[in-house]
Amino acid sequence: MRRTMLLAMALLFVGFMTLAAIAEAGTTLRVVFPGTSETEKQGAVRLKQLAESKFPDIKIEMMYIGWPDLEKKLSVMLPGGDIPDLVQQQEATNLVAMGALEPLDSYLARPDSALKKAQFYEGVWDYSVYDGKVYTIPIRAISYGLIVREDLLTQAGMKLGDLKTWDDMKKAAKAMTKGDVYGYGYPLGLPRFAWREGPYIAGYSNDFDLSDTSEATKAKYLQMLRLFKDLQPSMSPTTKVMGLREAFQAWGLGNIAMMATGDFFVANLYPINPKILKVSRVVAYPKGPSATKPRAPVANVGWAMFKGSKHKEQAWKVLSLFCSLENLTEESAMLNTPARRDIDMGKLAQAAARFYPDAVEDNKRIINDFVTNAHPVGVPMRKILRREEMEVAFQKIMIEMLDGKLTPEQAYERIKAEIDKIKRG
Amino acid sequence: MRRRLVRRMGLYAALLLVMAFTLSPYAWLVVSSFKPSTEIFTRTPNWSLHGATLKNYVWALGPTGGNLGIFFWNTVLAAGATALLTAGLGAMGGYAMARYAFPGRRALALALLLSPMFQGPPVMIPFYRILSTLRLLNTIPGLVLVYMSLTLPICIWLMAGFFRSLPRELEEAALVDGCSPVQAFSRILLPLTLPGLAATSLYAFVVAWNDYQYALILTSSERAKTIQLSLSELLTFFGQTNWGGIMASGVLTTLPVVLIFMVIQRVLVQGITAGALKS
Amino acid sequence: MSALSRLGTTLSRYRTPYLLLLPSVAYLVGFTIYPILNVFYLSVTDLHLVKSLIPRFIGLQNFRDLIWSDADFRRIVVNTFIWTFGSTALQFVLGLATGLILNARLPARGFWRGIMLVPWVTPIVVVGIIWRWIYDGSYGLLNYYLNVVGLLNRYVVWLGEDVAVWPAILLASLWKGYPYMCLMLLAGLQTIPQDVYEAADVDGASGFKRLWYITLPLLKPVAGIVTLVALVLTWNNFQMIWVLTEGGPAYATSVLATYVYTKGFVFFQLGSGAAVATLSILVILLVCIIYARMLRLEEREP
Repeated sequence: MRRTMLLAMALLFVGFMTLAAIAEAGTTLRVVFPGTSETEKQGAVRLKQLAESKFPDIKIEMMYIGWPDLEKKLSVMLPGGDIPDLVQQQEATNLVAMGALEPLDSYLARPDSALKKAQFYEGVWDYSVYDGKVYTIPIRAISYGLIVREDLLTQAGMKLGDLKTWDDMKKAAKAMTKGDVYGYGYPLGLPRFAWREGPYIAGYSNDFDLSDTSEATKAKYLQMLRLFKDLQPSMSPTTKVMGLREAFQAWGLGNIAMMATGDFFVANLYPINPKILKVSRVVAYPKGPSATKPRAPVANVGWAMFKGSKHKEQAWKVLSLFCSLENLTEESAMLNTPARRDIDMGKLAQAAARFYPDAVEDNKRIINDFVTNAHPVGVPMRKILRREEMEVAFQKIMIEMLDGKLTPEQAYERIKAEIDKIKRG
Repeated sequence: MRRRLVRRMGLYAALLLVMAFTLSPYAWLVVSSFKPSTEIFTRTPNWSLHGATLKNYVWALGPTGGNLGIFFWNTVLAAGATALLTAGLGAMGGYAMARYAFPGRRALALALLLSPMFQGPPVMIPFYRILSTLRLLNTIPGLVLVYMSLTLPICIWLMAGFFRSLPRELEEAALVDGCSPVQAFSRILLPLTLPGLAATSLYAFVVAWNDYQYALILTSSERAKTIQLSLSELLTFFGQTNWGGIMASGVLTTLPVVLIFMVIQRVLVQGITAGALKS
Repeated sequence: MSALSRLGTTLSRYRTPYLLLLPSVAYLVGFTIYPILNVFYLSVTDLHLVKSLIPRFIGLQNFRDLIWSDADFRRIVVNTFIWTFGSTALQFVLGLATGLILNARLPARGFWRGIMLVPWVTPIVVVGIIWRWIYDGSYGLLNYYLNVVGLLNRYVVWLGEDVAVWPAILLASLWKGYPYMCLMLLAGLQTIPQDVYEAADVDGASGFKRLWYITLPLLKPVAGIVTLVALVLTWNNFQMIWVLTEGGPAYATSVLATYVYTKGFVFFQLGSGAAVATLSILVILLVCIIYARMLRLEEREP
């Protein structure tokens, strides 16, 4: 009798412990988070608390990886069989090409889905679409435009509204170049920016995409190349080694008067020189000679789900929470510009004051500049496979052209040859 | 007498020159670490500490900012363990390579020189898989295991070099005096190679200390992330970079290692003079 | 005697060195064989992660493409030689000089030795920030001071201009790496027993003669190995160049190690990257064999 009792108790104990273990297990979602600045990390902590309080059976494990290292690490983890659940990414082209991400259309189509396309700016949303499928949900929009030192422009006798065409821009650049101030900034030093922070944006303003080397775009491409050649006297001699960081440093020191870049410049400039934000304004990049209508490239930062995730339902729940209206108001205040069109700009400005206390009004004004100038004419930046290789080749040829070793026509032929070679595989 | 004075002056002048070269870049770092971020990148160099602040250091150590404490500790553990293991195995292996002409020695020497050359992206996936199977991902022992592949082969080579520079007569004399080979090794040879051993251990320490790539791929949280990783994460692209904080972090990371070395190196000198006197 | 019993005799005759080396060799074989084989395997495949996660065997195609069709490869190889030999030579000279200084009787010697270590242990990210600012073309410290003392009358874009960029990179590398040389050579110097010098002093040898005829020859074995190791390490060091220029602009400062990184982690062309790595290893292997032979390191028979 006693032995049976002992046996029963032992079994009960084991059963209890197992149940407890299962209950305690819950689900741990691994979230890859590339924002490693202090403010972004605080944002991540907030997100974790938000998710864990709303869904008590879910635990969030944040994996912080810097932006430049994100894809490198994933490129080792994924073939290694170690697949997380959610990731925040800007351009997901490589991840989609690797087959790593889950298409989200079916989730969005559910009747109870809290997220819908109509809630977002169209151009910003379309950036998340690859081959007709939605792979990320935007949380912040990245708008690109021309930032201008309004004070220097006024000194040169022009107004912001005068910068409508490339010729206007060339005139302004020339007029503002004196002493150690250069009228046009172009970070040629690193391939990514040599491509994007200038020619790519200029291309959009002239109605073509840099990776398009077909006959149809040849004339427009040449116009863009000539534009940069013409702007060269207004560029600093350090252009060849300037990465984006150096360009922002130079802007902060008052060394550059105009530059094409995205709305993250506020966050970059604030720690260097918040006062410069007072005199920095944003306009849509002036129209090129072949442009039919104004266009501005937009991108976004968004959340995506891994195809190999073992907890897709929970991941979707958490993802929807991360992209809710209240949450995104806070997000957009921290960085970039809003992705959702239903965000209350007043609330956003209030939240932003926490992040940019020394430049509250300036930040508000600049966000407004972007939202009014870029979002309405926003066109999603094209997703180009193997863009990294094109960028390297492009940078080399641009350097040779600006060094005087190639004419714009020769540069075009070389660019075309290189890009076509990459596209052929 | 005059000649010696001139030589002394020359020596001091050379020392000052080298130290100036070594310290000037570092001096800029230190001065910048006491400035607010907005005053670090200036049009003309500004060395004045007017308006100096400790805010950057507070941020660097704080849990929301640099959070240096944990990462520093992780790196010290990983590098220290690597140094100890490498020193032990390296001394043994180096002695064998230096004093015994065994078959296969040349091939082994070549293999040892080659194996740390396999680095970078092509080896990352295998190492990831190995650590994943051993369940050592995101752990310090895992990092140490991988670092040893970089340090051990080279340290065997280096120790072999140090052993080879000692005259054979020392051991032979000891053996004649009645010591066993082990005693000859530990009482005579080891003290004399202490500087070499110390240098090799320090080398292994610094290799592990300086590594970025392996830490990036093989660690993912505060449990094992190293300082190189945490520092590079402070350089952001989208958010606000705390430049002053980064400078302070740079200073805080370098100083302790330098200070510890200043203390340790004196112990080593004592070790050698004792050994030399004995011979 | 049969082969097996010959093996047995060898093993027992040389059991001391084999035992001493056993743990190291066991670890290396267990831990590094798979990664090494993986590199060779990848180099004959076309693995390109954004095209497919499955590699296909393509024989020596990667190698052919690199040697014949890659316009930048030759320049990268040349760069690698400049980088490796330039860096090592400079570090050796300064390391030796500093080692000699720090070996002499100095006040607060321990303090100076500690300071010497600073560049080597400064985190690479911070080294990048410092030196990029020193070399900045508009406001950099180097430009400012060279202009102030009149050695220069314009601002040089150190990391951009063809003539300036390699000296600039080598200088930064000298700063970061010389402590390693100094440390090793100092250890070697300290291993030289005092009585050798005392005998020389009795013979009336002066400072320079002492250096040339006694110190340097005695240091040669250590110096030879230390420089050989430095050559290998510098050959594979991609961090230093990456934080300064990322191998740019346009591959101007790329070396084989940064090229492997670019191919593997920027383009995700793991097959081609592994081929670059393999070629790189072959070249440095050749260099080592020639160098070791020159120093006659192998001929010290017991």
